[in-house]
Amino acid sequence: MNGDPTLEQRALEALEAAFEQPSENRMDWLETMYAGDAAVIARVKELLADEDDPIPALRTGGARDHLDDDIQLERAGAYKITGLIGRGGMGAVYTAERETGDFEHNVAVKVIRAGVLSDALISRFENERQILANLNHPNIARLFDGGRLSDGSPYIIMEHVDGAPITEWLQSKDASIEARLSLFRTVCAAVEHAHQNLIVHRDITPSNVMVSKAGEVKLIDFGIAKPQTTSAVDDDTVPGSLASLTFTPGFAAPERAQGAPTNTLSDVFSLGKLLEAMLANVHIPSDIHAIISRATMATPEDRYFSVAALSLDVKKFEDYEPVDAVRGGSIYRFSKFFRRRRLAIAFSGLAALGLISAFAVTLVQYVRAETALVSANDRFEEARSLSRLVIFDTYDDFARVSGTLEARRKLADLVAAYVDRLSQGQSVPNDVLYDIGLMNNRLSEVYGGIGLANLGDTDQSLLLLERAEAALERLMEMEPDNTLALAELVMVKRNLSMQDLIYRLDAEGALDTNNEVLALSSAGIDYSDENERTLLRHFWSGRTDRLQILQEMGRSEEAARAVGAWRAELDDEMFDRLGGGEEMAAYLAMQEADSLIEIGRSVEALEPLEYARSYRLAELRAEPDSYYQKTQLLTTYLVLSRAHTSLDDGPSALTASLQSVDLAREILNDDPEDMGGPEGLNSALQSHAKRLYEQGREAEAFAAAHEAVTYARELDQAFPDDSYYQRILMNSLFTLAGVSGDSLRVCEALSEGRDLLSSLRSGVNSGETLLEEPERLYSELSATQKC
Amino acid sequence: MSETAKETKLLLSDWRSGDMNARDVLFERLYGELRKVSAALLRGESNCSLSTGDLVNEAVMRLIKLDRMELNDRSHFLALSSRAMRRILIDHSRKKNADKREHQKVTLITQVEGGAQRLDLDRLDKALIRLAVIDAQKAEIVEYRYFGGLSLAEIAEVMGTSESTIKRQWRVARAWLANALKD
Repeated sequence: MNGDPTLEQRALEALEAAFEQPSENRMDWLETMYAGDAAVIARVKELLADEDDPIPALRTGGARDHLDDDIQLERAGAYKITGLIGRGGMGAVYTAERETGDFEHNVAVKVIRAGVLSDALISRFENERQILANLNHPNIARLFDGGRLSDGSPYIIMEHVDGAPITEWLQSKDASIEARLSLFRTVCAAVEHAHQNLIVHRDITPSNVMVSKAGEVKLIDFGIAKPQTTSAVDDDTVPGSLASLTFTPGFAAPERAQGAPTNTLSDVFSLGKLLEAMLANVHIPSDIHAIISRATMATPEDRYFSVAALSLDVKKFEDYEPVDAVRGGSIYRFSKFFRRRRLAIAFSGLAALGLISAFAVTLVQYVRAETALVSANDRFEEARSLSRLVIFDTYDDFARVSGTLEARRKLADLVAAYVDRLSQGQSVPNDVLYDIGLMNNRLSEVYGGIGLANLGDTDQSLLLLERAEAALERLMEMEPDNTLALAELVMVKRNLSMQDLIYRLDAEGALDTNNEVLALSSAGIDYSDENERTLLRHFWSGRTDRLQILQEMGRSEEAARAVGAWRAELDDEMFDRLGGGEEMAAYLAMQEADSLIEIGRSVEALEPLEYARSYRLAELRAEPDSYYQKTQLLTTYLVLSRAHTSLDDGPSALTASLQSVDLAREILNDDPEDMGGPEGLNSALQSHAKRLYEQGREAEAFAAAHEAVTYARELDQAFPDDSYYQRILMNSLFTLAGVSGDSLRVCEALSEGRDLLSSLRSGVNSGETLLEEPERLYSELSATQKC
Repeated sequence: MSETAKETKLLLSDWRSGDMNARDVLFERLYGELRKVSAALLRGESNCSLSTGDLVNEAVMRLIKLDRMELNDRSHFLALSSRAMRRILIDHSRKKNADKREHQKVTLITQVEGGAQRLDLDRLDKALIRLAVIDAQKAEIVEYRYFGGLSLAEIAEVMGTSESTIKRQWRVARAWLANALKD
């Protein structure tokens, strides 16, 4: 883009960002973000107003309709076309009149586009026409005739209803709630009639339920209606077939959208939605709310088992009887009972008989509905795809926003329980093994992922990783060429290696696992298949892990040499192969800086640090809520502060540490549940305390160190058996001892720190090098203080 | 593999390695195929498929006649086909308007679901050209979706970004166009 963005460009950018905000906050957000740019605000508001009134024709493939313009329909059978009512994806609807002119007879003609339906579907469509023609009910628009046009397009001729959609009609009449409910039951009766003739409407929406000028309800457009399915495997699960062609979002039952077989229960759902729409703008009594929710349950089995049952419950409400939808306590039943007594309706023998026969009909329908439900196996598939959706897409959406950890915990617990059950089968198929590996790996991130917003449960996290590893290794034995599974296994091993290093202080173990990561991923890259890029990325990530491990082991010379060579490898070609290696480059730059500082070459560290810092800042400008970028920037500031310290530039070091503290506080405020928050702030405060102390600002240094200890203690108390948090607390105590001038406080801190040190020493597997630094610190501090 | 298919494959790989001339040749071929398919449609031949997505796919399949298309090739083709489809439809619309000697705007108000009012393609095209100056990517998304009949997932694949981003940008583009076409 050349020069400054124009007003239009700024407005479009603002509008796009505004769409990321929840709609209720959008205006406030806009006013705040663009407070200084009144022109942008005004323009975005104007565009938002038009967003509410979109051009309906501007939809997927909408341009295609223009090709139909030339096809002029003149007649259909014995009818002459007089006008066009409308056009849809499936075809068009016209008004027509009978040509023979014996009597005035206006009809609607629905023409299905040639080619929309396969021949098999057309013949079925024609069969259905016969059934529909037999449907004789005052509230169902009659179907008169049908046939095919010369080009083969099937058409049907229906009673033309001159009226308004039921919702509009109610609105214009300002109808009472009693009238609305009564009208709704009329609709139910019509749908019930269709069901008794084995016809499911499938598209009950306000615009398909018309009220004529005479005030009569007319159900129209059984265009996609067909006999009920009796088997789970049905034609209309095939995309592009008759029933899947149209359904109206918001009114169609959720199983429709998934292409599941439909039955009378789908119509129950749509009727529930219709009832809700019919009561728009009037106060909905809580019983009716309950009826609507019951009718519109996501799972078909949870709904009313027939339209009659739904209608009956509405009737009960009208009669002040307890409605079935409310499985309420005794108070509810009593209050209903008293109101009912006042009306004192006596049951006649006839009414009781009517109820019994109604029950018999609904029972038959219920049995049919049951047989049409998806088989157990299909349900299993659905559960799998749902779980994957939850733990990947939904989880990712949440993860991008700070402050959502609690919601993610709930999702994770749900899926963890499911995956656990999945693993308990006798012989687990290979693709399920993959799922187990994938989901366990994912779950372990939520419980205790390193560098991710997590629940701090490192034991659970490790356990899940080991399960993932076992499942994927089993799969790899059977399918050695499965690079997708290999990529996942590499990720699992990366996580295991880093957890070894950071949570278990086992640097040697971490290095061993890292060797596996690099060997496995480079072997996978050699397959050069569709997973090459993924594996290449894992390979590079494995390298960054290795640097961290080497650093922790004190092998900084080696790390600095390696990272220098690797950064040089990141040329344009490698960026291209990686498909955006900027993130990797920034990360490596920081690691290079870290290792250079460690070996006393801090001047050289400033260039890579600046590279990393400006990259992170730019990313955060583009995505201000990114948790990941915030934590990475925090780390960059911490390393920067260390670099300046070792270069004896106290003021710059202090500036960097202050920036890290500010950022850490922001991260903590974003999500108080995230254990990474207090941990990051603790780290920043310790660093800041040291910098302040070096500048002679002892009181402030003490305050910062004291606050750091407070957060560390909180973490330790939340996870009392976790050595990782013990180590943090110990280090914080030594920092406090180091910057404090008060000998009593120093001695307190040292004594507590010493206890932690000895308990850590006894618990460590190997890699005692990680404790060398605190041990040295302890002996230095206790030598200067007489406790 | 037929000669045409081999050539197409070659052109594709040339295009991928940056040969814009190869791209133009491909476009012309694709355009020709799409014209054939849509002309059949205009004649009312009922054996051709109907959605724009199908049209595009059919043209591509005729041209390349490959059982399995590489993902990368597919993305390139989908993008190119959307452009070709836009040109065909605009040409068609202009020709029709010229035939009528005067411009006629058809507006339908209807209760029928999906019976939405027509767009004036000519005006839409001009608005899209303006949008492309402001934000080329958003104009492209409209081209892919409205003219090419590509799904959100396919557009995301072509543009190498996420579906949610595409969806958001589509909303922005749609609002902008609604505003631009209002007067």
